[in-house]
Order: sequence, then C-alpha cells, then structure tokens
Amino acid sequence: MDRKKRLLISFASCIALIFIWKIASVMVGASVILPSPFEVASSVVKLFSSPQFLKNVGSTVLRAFFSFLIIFVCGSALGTAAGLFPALDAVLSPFITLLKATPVMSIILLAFIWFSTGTVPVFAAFLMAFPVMYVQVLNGTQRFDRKLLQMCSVYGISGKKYFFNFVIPSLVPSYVTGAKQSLAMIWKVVIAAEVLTVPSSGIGRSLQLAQVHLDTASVFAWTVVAVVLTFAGDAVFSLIIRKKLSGRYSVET
Amino acid sequence: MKLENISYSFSSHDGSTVKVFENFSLNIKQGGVYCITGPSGCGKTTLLNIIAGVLKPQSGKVVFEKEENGPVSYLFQEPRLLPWRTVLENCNLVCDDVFRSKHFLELAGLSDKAGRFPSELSGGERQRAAFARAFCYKSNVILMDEPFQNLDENLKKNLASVFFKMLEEDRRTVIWVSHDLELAKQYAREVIDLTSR
Repeated sequence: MDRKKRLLISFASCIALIFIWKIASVMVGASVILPSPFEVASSVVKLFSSPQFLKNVGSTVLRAFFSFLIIFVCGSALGTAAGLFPALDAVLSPFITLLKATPVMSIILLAFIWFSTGTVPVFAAFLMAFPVMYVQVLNGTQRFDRKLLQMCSVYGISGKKYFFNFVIPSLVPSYVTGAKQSLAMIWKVVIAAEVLTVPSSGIGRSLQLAQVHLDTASVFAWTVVAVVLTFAGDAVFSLIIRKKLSGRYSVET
Repeated sequence: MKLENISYSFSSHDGSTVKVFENFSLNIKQGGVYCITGPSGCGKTTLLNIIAGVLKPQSGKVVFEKEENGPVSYLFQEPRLLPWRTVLENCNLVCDDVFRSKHFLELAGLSDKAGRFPSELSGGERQRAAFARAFCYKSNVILMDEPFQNLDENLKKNLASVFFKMLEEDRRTVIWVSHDLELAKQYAREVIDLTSR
C-alpha cells in the first residue's frame, strides 16, 4: 500500500473514532463520565492558555529528559560492555530479569518511600526503562555483520580503531531503537509516578488533581498532551534517522 | 610463499568429516599473479582463508618469504566497506596515511568520490574503493576471492583492467580465485586447478 493511501485510511479511522466517541458521550449523557470530543478540545485550548500549563509540561519533560539521559548513557555503555565481555552480561543478567519482572507500581511505591516526590518519577523511569535500552544494545552486539567482522580481522583493525570504527557504528541502530522504545516507556512511567506522588508540578499531578475534582474533560485534555509529547519524541527520532542515519545505518524509521 | 603439506577438514551437518585438503603443497613466486580455479566447494576460498590466517590448518603451514612476511590484503566477493565511513576513511583505516589513501584512490579513479559514503557509489565504484583499500594496506600479498563475479562482461573487464594497472604501479603477489578462465589467462602467470590436486 502506498504512503498516501495509508495516510488517508488512518485519517478516516481517526474521524470514525471521534464520531463513535461523540455518539457514546451523547448516549451516556454525563460529561463527568464521558465528555464529548468538543468539550475535551475546548479543555485543551483552556489548558494552553493557563499560566500553569508550561510549568506542568516543562516539569514532566525535564524529568523525562533527565531519566532518558541517564538511561541512554548507562544502557548504551553497559549493554555494549556486556556484549563485548560475556562475564559482565552474566553478572547483570539476574538484575535485568528481576527489573523486567517487577510491576511498575511496586517500583513507584518503593521509590516514594525512599526519595522525595520530584525524584520518584526519575528513579522509577530509570528502573523500568533501563532494561529496555540495555537488552536492545546487548542484542545488537550479537548481530554484528560477520563479513565486516572478518574484514576488520584480516586488515588488522583492532583496539580503539575497532571499537570506534566498527563496534559503535554497528550498534547505532540498537542505540536508536533502544532510545526510542525506552523514551516511549519513560513518558508513561514518569506520568504514572507523578500521579501517585503528586509533586509540585507535572502532567501527572495535573491529571490527579483533575480526577479529584471530577473534571473528566481535563483528564482527557492532559492525556492528549501526554500522547502529543510521546508522538513528538518519536518524531524527533524519526527525523534524526531520516536526516543523519539513513543509507549508512540500517535503522528503522 | 610456500604452502607445505596443508591438511584441512571440517565436520559437516550430518557429523561426517569433510576433507578439503590433505598434504597439499604449493609454491608461489614473489610478485606473481596466480589464479586458483576449480568447481564450487573444492576449497578455493578455504585456501585463501588459510593463507590469510582466518582458518588454521590441522597440519602443515604457510611459509612466507622474508620480503612477503607480514599482513595480507584480502579482496572479498563483495567490497565489504564500512557503510558509515567515507571511501577515504575506509582507506585511511588500514594505513593511517591520507596521502597514501588519496594516491590509491586516484589510481582507482575515485579521487572525486573520496568524500562519498559507499551507499552513494555504484557497485563498480564500491569494488574499486575496495581495490584502493587493499593497496593502501601495507602488505606484500593480495588475496582475491572472485571480486569480479556477478558483474556484467564490460564492468568485469573494466574492473580487472583497473586492478591490474594498480598492480603494475605497486607490485605484489596476487592469489586470485576465479571461475573466469578467459580473464585468468589474460592476467595470471599461472592457473592452478584445484580439481586435479
């Protein structure tokens, strides 16, 4: 299917969803339970004009960005090292399995006991999304191009040269995919942690307050903002891939 | 260079042992172009890999002459350039000498494409970049594993002519695996048929 046709079908699907939503809200007849799409749209507009909007979004974005930075650096470094040194992989493997199996709520609640409210989302996001980045990079080291590997060996490309000219560039697709996947998870965990811990500002805090005040349209509106942020993060990655990486690295957009 | 009593075998999928070479010996004169030919599966690539040190024979050894002693350049069936490095960077990687890299890129007719990435070159240009890299590497022996295979006749002849002109400029021993007897007879000093070993 060509891109244009695909976009057209996706657009029609969105219109159908909004239409079904409108019918459902009319049938329910109570905006506290299910506000109409138009109420949500006007709530979004109201949010944008509110003086607290930028502060709340900024706080969440900062927390997500900070978590992402730590996860990207730690996940890339440890994933690469564990791929090159199987002993390190054996040491880290039980912790990664444990983290992958732990429910997100347990981590948030434990972090709430140990840290201040503003730190909990960062800590929880790190524990939940770090394994995603780590595993992607580790798997990447197992997918090295054997033919290029043989070329490096024959031409005596070793040590630092091998690391910076073969290992790191070979792992670029894994770094990008891991970063994309972990960022998508970071948004969800950071906002969930903000809902539970109610820090001084943030999207999660605003969601929690809107829910307490039974302002369902605002809950929907903040959800829209969160979804837009996730899409924006994804779009930035797609742009980097298209402009900087395509043709040289096999990265999926 | 001498290959002395080389024996090499491997275990196949069904567990049986496949003998590729048994007490195989070969004398290669320095600076000569030798073409290795034979049917598929007769061990042509295995022989190159043994000379390159990629495979270790179960017995026997490869003895290099004093002048040849050192690394070997290897031209594979595919160019095997690093896709994330420019053509010039691919050459520099094996010699750390920009002038040397530029010199061989010029001989390969790629001076104007030095800053391009492999994905921005045609198939023939990529193979020429691989030739330049092979010459940039300070070796006395070049191993070639059918680098002209799967190309149309004109391109094959053109690439072979580019390679052997580069060889005239910088003489090295060449061990060349090929199915193309016509091309082999044109350039090789000796054609060694592995079928008759």
